[in-house]
Amino acid sequence: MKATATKENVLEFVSRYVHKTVSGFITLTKGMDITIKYFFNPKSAITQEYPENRETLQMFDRFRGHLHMPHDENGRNACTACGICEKSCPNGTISVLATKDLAGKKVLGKYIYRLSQCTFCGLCVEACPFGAITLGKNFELAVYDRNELTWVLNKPETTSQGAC
Amino acid sequence: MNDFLFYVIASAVALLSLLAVTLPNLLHGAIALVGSFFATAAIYIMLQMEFLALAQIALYVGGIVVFMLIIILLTNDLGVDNSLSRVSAGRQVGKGVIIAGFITALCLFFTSNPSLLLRTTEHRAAPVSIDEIGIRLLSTSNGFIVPFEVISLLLLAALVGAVVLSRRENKTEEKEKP
Amino acid sequence: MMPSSAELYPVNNFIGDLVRSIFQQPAAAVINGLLALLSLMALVGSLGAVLIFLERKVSAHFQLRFGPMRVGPHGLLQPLADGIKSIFKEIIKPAGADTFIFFLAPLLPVSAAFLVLAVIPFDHHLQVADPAGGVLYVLGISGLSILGILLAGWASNNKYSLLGAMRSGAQMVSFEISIALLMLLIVMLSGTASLRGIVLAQEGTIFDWWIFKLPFLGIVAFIMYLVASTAELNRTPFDIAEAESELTGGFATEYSGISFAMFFLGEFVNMFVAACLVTTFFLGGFHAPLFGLPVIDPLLNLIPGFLWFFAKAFLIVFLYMWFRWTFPRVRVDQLMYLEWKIMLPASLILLMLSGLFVAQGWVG
Repeated sequence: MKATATKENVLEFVSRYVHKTVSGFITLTKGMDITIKYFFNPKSAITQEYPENRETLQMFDRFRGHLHMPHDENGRNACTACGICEKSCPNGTISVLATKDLAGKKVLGKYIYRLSQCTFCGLCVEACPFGAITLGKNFELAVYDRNELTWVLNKPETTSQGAC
Repeated sequence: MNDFLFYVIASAVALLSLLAVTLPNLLHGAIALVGSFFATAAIYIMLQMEFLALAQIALYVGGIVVFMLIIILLTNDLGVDNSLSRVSAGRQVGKGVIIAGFITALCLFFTSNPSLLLRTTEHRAAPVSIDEIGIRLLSTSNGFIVPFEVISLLLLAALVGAVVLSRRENKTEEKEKP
Repeated sequence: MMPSSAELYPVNNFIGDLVRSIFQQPAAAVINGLLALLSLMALVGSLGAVLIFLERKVSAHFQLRFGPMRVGPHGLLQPLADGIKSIFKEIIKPAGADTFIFFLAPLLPVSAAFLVLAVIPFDHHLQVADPAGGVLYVLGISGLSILGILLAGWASNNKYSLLGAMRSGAQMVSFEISIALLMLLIVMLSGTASLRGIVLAQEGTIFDWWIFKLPFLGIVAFIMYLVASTAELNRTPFDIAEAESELTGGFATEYSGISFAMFFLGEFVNMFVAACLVTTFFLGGFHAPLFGLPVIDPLLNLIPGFLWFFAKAFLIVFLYMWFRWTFPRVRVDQLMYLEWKIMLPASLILLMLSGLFVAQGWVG
């Protein structure tokens, strides 16, 4: 209850009481007005029905699906096998296996990504200085065999070996 | 048919009341009490006193039992490990015999001298309707208006007393919990 | 000497007459009674399913989503799936819980709903019983619901359940006072306490319904009755007892499977019963909303009374759901403040004013 400095008389009390009641009631009707408008517009539903809308489904831009190494039209990726992503991963999901090319420079051999351990945190993507990896949009990742959860993300340029 | 129904209901009342006072678990006893209130209401309906039956349900089941239940639930360790008090069997049987004898003597006395009973049962011809009860309760002539007003004052005093009793000691907060 | 129930509450609709023409008298009365009870059970069973489905769909549409859409077209078979799941779920009784009371408690709110449904006039001759003090009966039976909730809270052997049950019990007992005073107001206006008499007192056009007949009091009394009965039903904004996010289910925390389904069903059927009572007291029961116009009135009267009754009752149910999914929850002390400091004085003032109206002969 309010602690008023001056004692209000009965008339003020009654008018304040009535005013509070009526204005409170009006705010209730304002809230009810909003929800009834939602009710009579089922088209304005903001949820989507998932398996039925698979064809038209587009995840939003910042969605964090599985890790993905984009290759350009010549099949080249931007990874230099620096290993920063491997060090930044909190639970060792990534293994960067480097090899030496003909000139003796360190290049990427195999980029191993264990989906079973990935937490989709995105620290590897933030850490990569070359923008070689991103988190893609696919989320339907369930498989029946645990061995299928270890992926090699880079595609060799000439041959088409390796699982992805 | 009526007799049979009466015996069934009366034995239900007796049994449930007995359970209400002898069950070791207090809550089970309270539930038996609820059952006995309902059975009593059934007897009132058999006696064509409909208003009394409805009032019995409304006041006893709806009011008093809820009240008792709240008291039982608010008190710690009540009704958890209750066992009957250790009175010897002989004393209990003796008490039962004395009370049964007294009631039997009373019944015998009144059935042999029926003129000593109050005359209230003679004038009741038709079942009393709720309208008549209302009119009789509030009419100023031949009515019960004075006890009605006195009872309302009593209730007011009880309500105010409950509010005053449940106030906090220091008047920093005023919470009214009747 | 004592009138049998067949004479006190004869079933006068065409089914009752049919039975009486086929069978002899004592058997006919028994069969009529059994049929009435069976129809009540059928009503409660189908209502439970319909209302639960309706609640989920209506709440979804209020919240800009769809609700159940998968089981059957637009989720129509969802209550069936829920019922089958509840029946097959294991009933877990917590250790230390009082078995008898634990399994008795869910039955009480459902029984109370049945008992009140028996006196509600669905149509001119579709009422199981019409006691002269029907309003008093309804008040008494709502005490039974309170009993069920208190016992459920205690028997769960769980401090949070007990806390939820005590809060709920206190809330229901408090708001019963306002409900009783508002019912008394209607009884005073109608001149009779039997529910059928109250409905018949509203005969005529739509402006003879008690919500409209009193110039200002009717609507205020209607709104107050809606608020009080929402609190009596433990629905949001007054569902502090079963506050889903705060007390993890309140008094029904420890209940699973069919016991929990009983509580749930009891709550929904009680909601329908409260809506029926609102319809009976304020909205003219089974009377059609006539306007006094010559052409439309006979058409409106063609629709049977119980359809009008159910339409009005479902409108009130929709109103309850609208309240639930619009308003936030009030705190328990705000709830008690509402009852004891706002609604009780207001009900008393309304009662006095309507007494004045009746005494002056303006109404009734």
